[in-house]
Amino acid sequence: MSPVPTTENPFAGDNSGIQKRETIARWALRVGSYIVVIITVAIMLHIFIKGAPVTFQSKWPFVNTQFLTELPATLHVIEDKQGNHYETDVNGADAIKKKLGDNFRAEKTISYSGGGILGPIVGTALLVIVSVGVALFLGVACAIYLSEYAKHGKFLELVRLAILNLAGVPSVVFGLFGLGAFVLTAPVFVDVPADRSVFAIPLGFTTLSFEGWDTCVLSGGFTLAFVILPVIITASEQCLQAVPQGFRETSMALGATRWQTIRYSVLPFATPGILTSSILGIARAAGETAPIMFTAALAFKDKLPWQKDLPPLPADASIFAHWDQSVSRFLGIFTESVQALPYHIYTLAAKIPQNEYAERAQYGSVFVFLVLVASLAASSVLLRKRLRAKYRW
Amino acid sequence: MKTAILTLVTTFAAALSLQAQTTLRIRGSDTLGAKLVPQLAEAFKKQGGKVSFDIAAEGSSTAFTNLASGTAEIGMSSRKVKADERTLCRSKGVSLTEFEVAWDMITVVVNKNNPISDLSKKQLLQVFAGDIKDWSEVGGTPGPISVYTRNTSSGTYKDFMGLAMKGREYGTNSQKMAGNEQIASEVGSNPNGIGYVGYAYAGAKGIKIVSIGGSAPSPAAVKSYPLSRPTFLYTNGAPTGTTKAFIDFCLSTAGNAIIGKAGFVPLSIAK
Amino acid sequence: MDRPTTPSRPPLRSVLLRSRKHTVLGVDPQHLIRWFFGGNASIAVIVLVLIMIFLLREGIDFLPTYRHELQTYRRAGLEFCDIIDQPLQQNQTLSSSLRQAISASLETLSKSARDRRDAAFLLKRQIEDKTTRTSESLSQALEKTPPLPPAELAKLRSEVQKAAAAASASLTYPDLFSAAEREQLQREFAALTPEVTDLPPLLQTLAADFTAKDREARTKFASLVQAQEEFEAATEPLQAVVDELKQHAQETKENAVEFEVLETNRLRLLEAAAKEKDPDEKASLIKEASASFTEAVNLAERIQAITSRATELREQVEKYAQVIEKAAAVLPTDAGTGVARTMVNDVREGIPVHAQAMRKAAAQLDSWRWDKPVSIFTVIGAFFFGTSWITNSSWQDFFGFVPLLSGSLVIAFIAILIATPVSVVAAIYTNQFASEREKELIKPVIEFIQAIPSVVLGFIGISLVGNLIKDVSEWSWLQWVPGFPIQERLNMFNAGCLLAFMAVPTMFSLSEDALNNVPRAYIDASDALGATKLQTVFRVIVPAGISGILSAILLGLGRVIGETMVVLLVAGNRIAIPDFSAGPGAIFQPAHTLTGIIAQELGEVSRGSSHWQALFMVGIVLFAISLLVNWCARAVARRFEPHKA
Repeated sequence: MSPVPTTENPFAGDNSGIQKRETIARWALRVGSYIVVIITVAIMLHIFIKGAPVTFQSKWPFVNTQFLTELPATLHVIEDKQGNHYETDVNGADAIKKKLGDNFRAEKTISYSGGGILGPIVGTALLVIVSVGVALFLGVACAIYLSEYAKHGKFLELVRLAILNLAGVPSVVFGLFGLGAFVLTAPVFVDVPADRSVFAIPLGFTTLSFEGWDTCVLSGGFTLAFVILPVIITASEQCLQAVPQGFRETSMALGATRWQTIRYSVLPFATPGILTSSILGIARAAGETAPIMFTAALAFKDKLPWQKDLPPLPADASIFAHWDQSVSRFLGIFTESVQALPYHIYTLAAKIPQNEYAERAQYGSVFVFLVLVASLAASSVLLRKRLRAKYRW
Repeated sequence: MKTAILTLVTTFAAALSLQAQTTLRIRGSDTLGAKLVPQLAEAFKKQGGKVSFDIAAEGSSTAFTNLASGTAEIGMSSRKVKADERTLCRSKGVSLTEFEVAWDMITVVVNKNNPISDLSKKQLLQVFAGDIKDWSEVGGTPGPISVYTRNTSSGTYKDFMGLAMKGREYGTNSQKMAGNEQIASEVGSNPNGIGYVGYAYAGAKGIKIVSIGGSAPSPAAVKSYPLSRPTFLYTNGAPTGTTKAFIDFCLSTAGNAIIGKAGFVPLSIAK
Repeated sequence: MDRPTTPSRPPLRSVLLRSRKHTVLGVDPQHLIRWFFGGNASIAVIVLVLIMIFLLREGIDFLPTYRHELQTYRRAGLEFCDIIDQPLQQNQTLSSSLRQAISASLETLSKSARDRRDAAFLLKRQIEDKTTRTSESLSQALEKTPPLPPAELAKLRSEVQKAAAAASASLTYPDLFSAAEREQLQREFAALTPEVTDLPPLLQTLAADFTAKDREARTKFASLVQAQEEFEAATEPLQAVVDELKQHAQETKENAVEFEVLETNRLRLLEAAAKEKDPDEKASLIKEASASFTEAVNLAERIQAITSRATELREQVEKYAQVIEKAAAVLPTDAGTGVARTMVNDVREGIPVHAQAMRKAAAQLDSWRWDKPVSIFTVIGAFFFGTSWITNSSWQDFFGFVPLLSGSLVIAFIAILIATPVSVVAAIYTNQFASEREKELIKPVIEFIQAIPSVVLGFIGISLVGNLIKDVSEWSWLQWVPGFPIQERLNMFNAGCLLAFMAVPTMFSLSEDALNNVPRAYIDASDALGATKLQTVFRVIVPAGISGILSAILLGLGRVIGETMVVLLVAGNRIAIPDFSAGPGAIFQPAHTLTGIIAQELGEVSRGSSHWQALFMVGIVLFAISLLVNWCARAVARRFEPHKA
């Protein structure tokens, strides 16, 4: 395919109309490229036009706080005999019906479409915290090795190949993996191992049993961590490599060890870049649905993860007296299944009808979700640009 | 330091084995779980039940898998438990207790503009088994029939097979939809579509009910309609505490009123 | 990185470093740190291996489990019944053609009457829709006890009438009706109230008209109608025998399965009892175990009841074949329309083939052995080449992979076909022609697509694109497009479009990189030879970057095949091999996919069942495909690598 010179001049030909052909071809290419741009903008506009009115309002505080701060609920639509419709929740329904009295005609209910989307937002946030925490720890360490320690060889090649392949694994396969590994097999400390435990290691005071974490934030977060791992590794490695070689040489020349060099001369300059790039990882983790379908997500939950109706801690003692209980309650947040925004959108898209009442929840959630994800992605891009301008070596 | 770590480890262990006692986890049928049970749950909470609900409705089969693995307190099912599921539960030490909560009528729906308004039982079977491929074969406007069924884990899927299809398989041209609402909206937008939904979902926009052999579904005709079936809640053993309170509420007069309003037939009428 | 052990090192340095050299457990901490990072680096390798292990752990048992199931299928005699039952389904297909031919024939006479009737009823329903509210109030009021005062009822009645009149005036009456009829319809509709249960007179006339026409048509094509009925009825005696056998086989299978479950349970309980120390517990476990005991099914005896009927079955098949062959000979040729005649002819030709297939099936009955073991290769073949994926069946579950794979491939093909030109064109344009300002617009927008979560695109597919494609397909000037107008808004083409959109950013940026990597010298050389910009681009730069572009396309393909949410929501979820006999219009059919089936069904099956394992097998195949695509992309990139200048 390479342009090996042949005896025939490939550029021979009549020159008439070349100019015209050039212009036509150029315009054809231009139109081709702008098609994508136009479609993207059209889709965004569509979502904006349908979704923004749900999220924003013309009165102070301009943001529909109810939609953002309430849990999803069933929407009740009550119709009176004049054909007016009232949208309300279960508590409002009775009041309206009482008020309408004889004038009441029909009531229909649409699941998931009432209230707001606080539950899914919180769930997604928890999943992102866990996944990015895990992925950053593993990914940055991996990147440090690749950029600072590794020498050319079999191992390095293997690692690079693995990263490439990991990036190509379908997300639903990650879901299967998470189900097999974290939901059903991961180790937990229990007093009595369950039947399904793969094997159990007695530790005396408790047993380490490989019986899985069940569907919960931890399982989902760890699964997502591996989904975004390649993104984090690649981005971090780029940032590390962008630190000029001279920094390392200077440090080594002063007698610092390799670790001291990394710790004091490389990481400080790479960290901002790593963090901004990892925002991209957050956006990806927040957007994935298939990996959390079987590992963390729930279609409906009427409580936030930390609302558990547990008996309150004894009031007389200070919080430190019961710190183990406090900690256990805090950790308990991560052992709950949660609603997550992408899964919520899936539920809204697949399980409820497409009508004017459901549209509010559907487009509202999509809009909020897209704004969150897109602003994360955009901020990552912008920050990177500013960083690049700031650190110019 | 060591004790601190030990405490942390035990705390973590405690956290991981922590089960919130007052959450009712309900799993199973989409027919029940997408509409009826959430409404019962909301009403139950409103009348003072101090409990939180955790409802996932992916199909009746999931009721039994979740009950068997101990990840649900209540299973909703739009069909009776199958023998192998009962055995599976028994082998996991779960003995199922069954509560009939309401009757449902599987309602065959077509697009609103379809002139067909009645199908014989045989035609119904042939349509869903894929034998009849074109509307002209049953006297409608010519056009290939699009069949929408529920997904395979659904109790409605199974019940319909038993009630209408004499155990025959669905034709390969059938499309599997995630829920009743999705079937309703697809049939509503496809002039050649046919599908079935729970009676509660038959009022959706763009669809109309087809009577079966002249018998149309209505709460009064629940006994004579050929596709009526009871729906159930299942628990592990005899229910206690909040579980019992909730099930009692479902079977109470107040519960029956909600059942009727949600488009199901309460036992008081069906019996 | 290196330990200062080389003897040539100047002594001063080792002296300087000595002070800071402490060891942890005899190991240099620098090494520990290095190992720590190295260990973390291998995480990617470990994760890949773990994915494989966990997929295999849940999925690999599928082959033995499925083999066992197929074995039961054979031993209980289900397979025996299917030998006859499967080809017998063809009768319904032929019947269906005949029924359609009849309907087309009847239409020649009754179409206009039917259209008029249907149109009138449609109009009536529209009126009813518009007046529901008022008429509902009236009917409620009428039912009230004690009855409402007549004045109020009259008010309600007049309201209903007003609404009906308004509605009937607002309707557009089709041209099917004459002016007089339209007027009458409007008058009759305006008088519709819930109290009148009889149909309006004109509607009655229209319905009667149709019935008369239909009867007339049926007499005209009586021979065809009769032929169809006879043909369908011909199966009945055979079907009766098959059904009886099927029921017997089914019972055998159910008993056999129940026995297995109970037996495993019993063994487990006994095992638990053996371990149990508390005597009370032990006794109760043993008691429970003995409760779980059932008699094993005597398969050999039960199968006898089926195989002994083979001769009878063969006779029935022969009788059936003769009857339908006779029916084929006397199939009338006077169907009403050309289409109908072709259909009847097809059936005429199809019947001997069908009869032959039935005879062949009957001949197979002899060589069928209930105790022939199912080889593992049969099982592998049944999975990888099986054409039906039937789960939660009341007869027999089949896990055939082909319908899912074909759906995935067709969708991926559509997506790549759309995405490739678009992204390559965009890459060429931005890389070679675009001004800086254009680049600033195009690049971020295309990269932004990457940030759109797939579930959002799936939602857009359901709520926007599906309806859009459907509406466009109904435009009259586009009817030449195969498959138009389309029926299903959720179909492979819709999914393909969305996936193409998703694949564009990947393919665009990789292609652009490839173009960027073309050595500057090539371009300079081309310019120096006097080539125009266009010539340089298409004869030098693109050929030089072709390897990168190809590998970009392959990576895009990998992304498309692995995508889940869009296909789950948009592809239509019909588990069948697309019917390519419909021509290119087949892309507007719905399909199911490898990824979609996992997402849809995994949440619903019990762990360790054959269905669960089958889904993990699908996962294994998907994983293998992704590795393969990646490998190909790398190989392509290496194979066509241009000679670096």
